Amino acid sequence: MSLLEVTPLFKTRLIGWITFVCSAIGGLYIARVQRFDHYPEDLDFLFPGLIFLVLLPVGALLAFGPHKQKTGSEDQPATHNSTFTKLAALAWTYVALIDYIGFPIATIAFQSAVLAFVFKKRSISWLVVTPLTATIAFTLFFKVGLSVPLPRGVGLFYTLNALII
Amino acid sequence: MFDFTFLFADSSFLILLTLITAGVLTGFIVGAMPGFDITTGVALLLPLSYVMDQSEALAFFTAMYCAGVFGGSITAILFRIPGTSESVMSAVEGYPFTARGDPGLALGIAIVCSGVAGVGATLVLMTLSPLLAQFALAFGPGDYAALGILGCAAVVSASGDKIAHGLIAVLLGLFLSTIGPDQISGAFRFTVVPALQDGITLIPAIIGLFAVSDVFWRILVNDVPNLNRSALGEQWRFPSIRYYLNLSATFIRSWTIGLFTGILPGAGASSAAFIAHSTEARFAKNSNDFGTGVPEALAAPETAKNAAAVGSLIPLLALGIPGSGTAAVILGAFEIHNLQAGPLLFAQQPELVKTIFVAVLIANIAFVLASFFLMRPIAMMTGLPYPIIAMGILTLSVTGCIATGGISTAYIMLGFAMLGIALKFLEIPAAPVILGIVLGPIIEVYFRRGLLMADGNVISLFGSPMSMTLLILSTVFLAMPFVSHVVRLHR
Repeated sequence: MSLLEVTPLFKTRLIGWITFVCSAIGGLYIARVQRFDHYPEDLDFLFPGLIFLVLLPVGALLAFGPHKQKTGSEDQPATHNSTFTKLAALAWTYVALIDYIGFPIATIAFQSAVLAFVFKKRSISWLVVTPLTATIAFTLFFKVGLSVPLPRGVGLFYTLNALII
Repeated sequence: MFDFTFLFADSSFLILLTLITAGVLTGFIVGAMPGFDITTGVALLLPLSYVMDQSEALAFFTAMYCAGVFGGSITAILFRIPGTSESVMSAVEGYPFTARGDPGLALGIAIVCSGVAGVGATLVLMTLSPLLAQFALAFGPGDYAALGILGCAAVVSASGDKIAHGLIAVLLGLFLSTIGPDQISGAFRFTVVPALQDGITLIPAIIGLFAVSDVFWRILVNDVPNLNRSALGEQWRFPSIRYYLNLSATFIRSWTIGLFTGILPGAGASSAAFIAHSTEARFAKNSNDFGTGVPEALAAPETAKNAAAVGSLIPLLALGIPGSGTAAVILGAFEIHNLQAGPLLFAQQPELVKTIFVAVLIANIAFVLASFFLMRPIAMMTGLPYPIIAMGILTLSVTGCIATGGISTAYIMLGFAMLGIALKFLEIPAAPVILGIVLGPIIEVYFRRGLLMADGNVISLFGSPMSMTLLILSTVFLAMPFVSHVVRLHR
């Protein structure tokens, strides 16, 4: 089943449950840490506490309250979960590695991987030339144009990247 | 406030003019490019602020904003692909002109209505915001907190039928604003991971929620823009003066709606376009033909969205409260230059405020002129393959975040991208979350400061006539959707 093939009622209930549970946990935490011994000072958690206090009944209303029964999904688009998962994983990996392997190498690798695995590109021009050109353009933009220091990586990567940026 | 001679005192005006022109062209291209919202564009280019001084940066981004709101109409009318969310109605009402071989008429209506609406709204901005700022100088902490609450209530009220979704989004934003060091005591709150030690700043939140999550979502639902560019090869016929004069009643109605919708926090240009369109349908004799290429049906959203875009700058400049998601992003440019938008800006940096006024005015005139000459080449440029746009957005987002706050900012940005996906799935709007993040510190800091000054007495904190008025208005805003629902049920 596609991720989005759910009824509007299910979505409403889900929002309600998430809101209710999160605000209940948050509220309990704040009840434990917020003291009023020095009122009106030391009210670090008063504002978030008030937010949870408003959210709790809203969540309860959506989760348990009466709603118009809407059956069937409303013109929901088909989802491509595996492609999305690949893209999200690549983005997180890119951020995780950029400090270690440096901006140029990480960016070229990330862009080639996105083009290959997400957009299913196979030609050399897409997988090599495009990432290389884009990375040079970004490096010039940030390094020369904006004078922003870009991550150079560590160890061997540092030496390698130092030649480029 | 209308003395602009300082601008011509040295050659810096030429630099400013160049930057405004660059802002207009960038906004134009970004707005026209499907899959690249103007909010996203402004957010992604915010690091450019570092190489500009504060007046140049603010002039560039406000010019980009004004042109970008219109830019979305180009692809909406020519290809039925709205470049921005504000241009959805332009696609519905403008594309039928193109389909019957008359794109010039639709583009002409869009350009002139948007431009004149923008210039008119700029004059209101120049007149009203100094008065509003002057008035706000007398505000106490309670008044500011109440103003922040009013901002939240207006955002929730703008959610229409989905008031609970809007309320949750605003409260989520308010909660996110509390993460990190408390601004009064310095105590750390909810810093469950080291990346959150410094709290959540606006830039990664905006980039993650708008730019990156949009790319992720398009991949998830396979909504990759594909342009049919046959309209570009045709001869375009633009409207005559008489044609425009026939639209004047529609223009006045929609301009008024747009301006007031823009001033309200959270409503923004998209809502203005929808409201103006539906209002026009009530007034028009041929409302049954709407959607088939009726000039009034196109003029209404085009006028309203640009009036709203400029209108949203009024509360931003005068009160420090953004009227739209993109205005909240422009607040990021203020943040980069350590500037506080609001009444003190008018008192302490009047020349900066005037520079912004001039930038908005010139931008609105410049994009009309640029439109007639550059529309066709810009429309052709929008045909960049989506993989390149997506890759560019992702790389620029990560690098931009690293440039503004290091790797931890990039992680926060990705966290917001995931949150953005969840919000899209649950049909919760993202813009109120950003407005919540902006308004949260205003409400909390003034509320607690006021509470300390009032010795803990909440009634005395909100006891001033201004606070009471603002709180009553907030209640009215929150009650409005329920009242209209009850009225609808009884009809």
